[in-house]
Amino acid sequence: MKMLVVDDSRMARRILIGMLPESLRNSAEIHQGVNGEEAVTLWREQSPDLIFLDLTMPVMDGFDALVAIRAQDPDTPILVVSADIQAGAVAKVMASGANGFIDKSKLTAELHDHLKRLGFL
Amino acid sequence: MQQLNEDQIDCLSELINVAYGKATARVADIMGAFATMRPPQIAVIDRERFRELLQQACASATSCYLARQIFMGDVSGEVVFLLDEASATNITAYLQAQLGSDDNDDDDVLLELGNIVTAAMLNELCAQMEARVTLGEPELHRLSVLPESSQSAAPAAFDHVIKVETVIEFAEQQIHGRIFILTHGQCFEWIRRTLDRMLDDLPS
Repeated sequence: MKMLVVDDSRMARRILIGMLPESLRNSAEIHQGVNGEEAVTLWREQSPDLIFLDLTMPVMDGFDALVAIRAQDPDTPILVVSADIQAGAVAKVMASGANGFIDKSKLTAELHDHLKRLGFL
Repeated sequence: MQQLNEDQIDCLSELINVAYGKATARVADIMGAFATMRPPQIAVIDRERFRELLQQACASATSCYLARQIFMGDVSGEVVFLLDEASATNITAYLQAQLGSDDNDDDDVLLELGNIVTAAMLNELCAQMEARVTLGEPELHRLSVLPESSQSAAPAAFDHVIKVETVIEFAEQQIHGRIFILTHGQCFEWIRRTLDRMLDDLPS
């Protein structure tokens, strides 16, 4: 299984990867990106099975990366993980085709449920 | 003055980013508008540099606004939200227009906004660090000149300051604010140990 974790914060990527169930963390090939542009490039190069995508990033933000990927790939599950919890932001990402939105402050509580819902656990 | 290493800064930056997200969402609710969030930039500075920044803010504008709130508990100190005059004007004009009245005191609007930002941010930050704190009453000061013995300058006990540079961007205006978390050496050491504990809990 291939996974893509995209966040401009090294610590945020480390935290998210650290919170993955051990079985998933040890078995998956995890690629990391630091902005939306890298998200699109890595999606194209690696064909991941699951993408975790932050929103507030330099160069290209997560909103634009989500739209760019969804324009060509309606199927790969994309979970947005963000500190931007405005109702408008959540609505925008879901309308753009994200499979779920995780509030970063609730990552511990919500990550497992999303992975289970998407069939990764 | 104590400093944080790269990992500790990264960890604190991410905690503040999450806390800042909460504050942004609250402000956006009040403004009734969607805000484009920019990642906050953080740095650890000393009391003298904090005072210099206040002086620069006062010198570069007709006035600036400072909302402050003390906190006490597992960690104690003061959180300060410094708002430039342009941002203050933008906010009050926008909200007054929304409220349809100019009877509301602009200072009340700014005090409430400052309270929301500082309280939302501090409460979330402390929750993530599992620190129990209580907040004091918020105060608002309008500064045109920084007095020599200003109450707005950091009291001598607060020798460690975490500076958070923020921009909350709405379609028609920006709110450029700086948040300063003032604390003393013992509490700063608590913060540092907590960050290390959080880092240690992450798998290598």
